Amino acid sequence: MNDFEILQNLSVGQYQPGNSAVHHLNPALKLVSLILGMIIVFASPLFPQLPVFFLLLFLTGRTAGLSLRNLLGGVRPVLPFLVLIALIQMFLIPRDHSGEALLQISRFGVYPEDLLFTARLFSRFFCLFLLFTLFTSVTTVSEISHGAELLFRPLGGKSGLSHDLSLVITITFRFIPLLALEAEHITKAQASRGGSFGTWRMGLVKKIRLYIPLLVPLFVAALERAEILVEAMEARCYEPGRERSRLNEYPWKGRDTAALCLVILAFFLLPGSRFLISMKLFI
Amino acid sequence: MSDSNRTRKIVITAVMAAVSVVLGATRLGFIPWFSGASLTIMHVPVIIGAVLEGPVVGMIIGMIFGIFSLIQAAVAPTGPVDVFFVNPLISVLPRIVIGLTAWLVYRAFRGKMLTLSTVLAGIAGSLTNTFLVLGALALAGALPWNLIIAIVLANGLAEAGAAAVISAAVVVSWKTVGSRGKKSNLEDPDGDE
Repeated sequence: MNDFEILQNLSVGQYQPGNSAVHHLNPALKLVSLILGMIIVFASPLFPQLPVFFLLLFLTGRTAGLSLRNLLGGVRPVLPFLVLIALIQMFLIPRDHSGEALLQISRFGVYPEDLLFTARLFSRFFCLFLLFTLFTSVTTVSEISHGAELLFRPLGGKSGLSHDLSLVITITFRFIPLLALEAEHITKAQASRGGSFGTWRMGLVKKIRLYIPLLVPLFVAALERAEILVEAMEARCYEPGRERSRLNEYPWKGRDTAALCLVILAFFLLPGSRFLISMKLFI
Repeated sequence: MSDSNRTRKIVITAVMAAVSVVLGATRLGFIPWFSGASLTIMHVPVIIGAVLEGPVVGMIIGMIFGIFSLIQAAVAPTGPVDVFFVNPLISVLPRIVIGLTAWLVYRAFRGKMLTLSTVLAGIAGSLTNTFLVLGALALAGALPWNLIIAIVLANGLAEAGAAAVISAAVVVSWKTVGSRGKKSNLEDPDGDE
């Protein structure tokens, strides 16, 4: 029955309640830092920027009261895949090799380029993993939607488009557990009627025929719930495109400015140090 | 557009995005397939949203689907290619276009036959996903080109078929049967026959 416990697999990121300075930052600032952090990871060469960035993220995590166990615990189930990815990258993807192979095992060789590429892939992966875990550990869903509303305000604040978007985010998060439960019910119901999930020795047409009684009720149930929600919202006089207040306001404070300065500094220094180092090498 | 329509657009966008997330997170959205790489039907909510509520809804669902697949690839990768999906150019940008093409095809055939136009929209949206994502993967150097072509032939066409069948089944059943559920029982005094 373990296959049906769908809700357990939904652990993309868990909020860790806390009272630290990082938790209390402005949500819009957290979102901006997430985006800038992703750009840093993609714009940085391997060394020494990515380890430095990793260390910075780890220190931020410590400030937020998160241990390394909290931050990187989720990576454990993924490790076998990472090994597989490393093997594929090292041996199966053809690349131009300039130097000699470091190690030759029959017809497979380990080349410096492959090692470098794999190392970069992995350090990027770990930096991003840490970044996302950190972000979801210190940000609640309502903070995410509030931050998104603030960020989208220049795009369509007057027509209420930014509020629409933040409402979409909130409803999406609210509906994920409901629909996961619904999916679990439908799977169990079809299995109890003899649907043989788990045996895959059949043709495509048969497989799709097996999936249709799962997916169509899921979609129709989702649409029905949407329709009910529309009616409920209108019955409570929801008007799209109106300015409305919130239960929790997040005023911009002095420490937000300081944190923003730090993030922007890191954003320019980390990828930019590539040019500084290369200039020093040439002089 | 009327206000009621706008509320519906907001809610349908959110719910379809949630369906896409649930399909991805529960592995329901992946049909095992002999070529090794599973067929994905996570983009079907994007197509259905685009067909039901228009291009903007489809594009926003596509964006949320893309961002979610990015997060999933970064936090819990399940396959060798997932490492590349943390690049928003591969995971987000192609998915925004799905809604647009599906809606364009649906619109071009609209009014003739609901089933036919939805099937074609499903095929178009699915192929958009396949070509753009795999093309971006190839440009990023994740996979060699001949492997990409093999995946398009082995998975892309089957995915398009699956997406067409499922989106047509959902849209047709929603547009014809679903209208009954929307009506309140109060309007219809002898509705319980």
